[in-house]
Amino acid sequence: MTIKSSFAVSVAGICTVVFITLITVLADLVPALKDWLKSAFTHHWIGKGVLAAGLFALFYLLVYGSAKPEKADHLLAPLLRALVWLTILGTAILFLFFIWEAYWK
Amino acid sequence: MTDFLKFLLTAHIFLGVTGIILFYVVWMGLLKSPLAERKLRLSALWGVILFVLSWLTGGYYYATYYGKAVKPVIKAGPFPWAHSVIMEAKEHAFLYLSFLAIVICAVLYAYRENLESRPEIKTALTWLTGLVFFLGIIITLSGVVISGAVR
Repeated sequence: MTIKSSFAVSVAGICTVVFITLITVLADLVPALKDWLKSAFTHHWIGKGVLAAGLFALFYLLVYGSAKPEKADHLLAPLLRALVWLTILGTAILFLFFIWEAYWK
Repeated sequence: MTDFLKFLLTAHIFLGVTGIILFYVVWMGLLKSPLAERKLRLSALWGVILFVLSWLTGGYYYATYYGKAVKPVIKAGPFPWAHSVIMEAKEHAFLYLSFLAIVICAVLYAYRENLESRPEIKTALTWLTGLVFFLGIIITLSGVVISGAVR
């Protein structure tokens, strides 16, 4: 595992956390999206997981291919911090969204 | 519930909790100096493997049984929010864990023996690992609430 690799994995992690949050909210707000996930993957949750894994791999490959090691090393700490904040924000959004959906929608 | 599904559910919980314990070991290890870097790498690697296995075992149970047999019971009972809020949030927040775990593992392997000389990266990684531990705890406690709502 190289520094460039860890940089690419961190970017992929950020994109995946954002994707999981967005697709979770959107799939509940847009029934057609949830239906598509069900029909394509037999279950909407399986679909979200498979797409998240695919996106993670895709972003890893894209970023790894274009990243420069010196820049990767310099940017890693801010990326990890961003991942922390986005995960906290994503988790809060998920809980608040489902509370809203259960009681006010 | 069949014996196979009971096994999968038990495995999901056991694998997930053990994964959380391993990331607690990594988190505590990152707070120490000097770092026991080989131990941290191996703990993180096993943590990733266990989280992925927990995902697969729990996922099979969830996709094939929970929706048709457990969810209706919870929704018809005195605590319908255990599914509508807790389970819904838990099943999606759970998806974050394996990817966050892979990031932690990747950084530990990339900076093997050099992490102490990179305090900014070490600090950020420590925060991320602590987050994985606490998120794992929240997810586990959510599972306890959901199980309680079924009874």
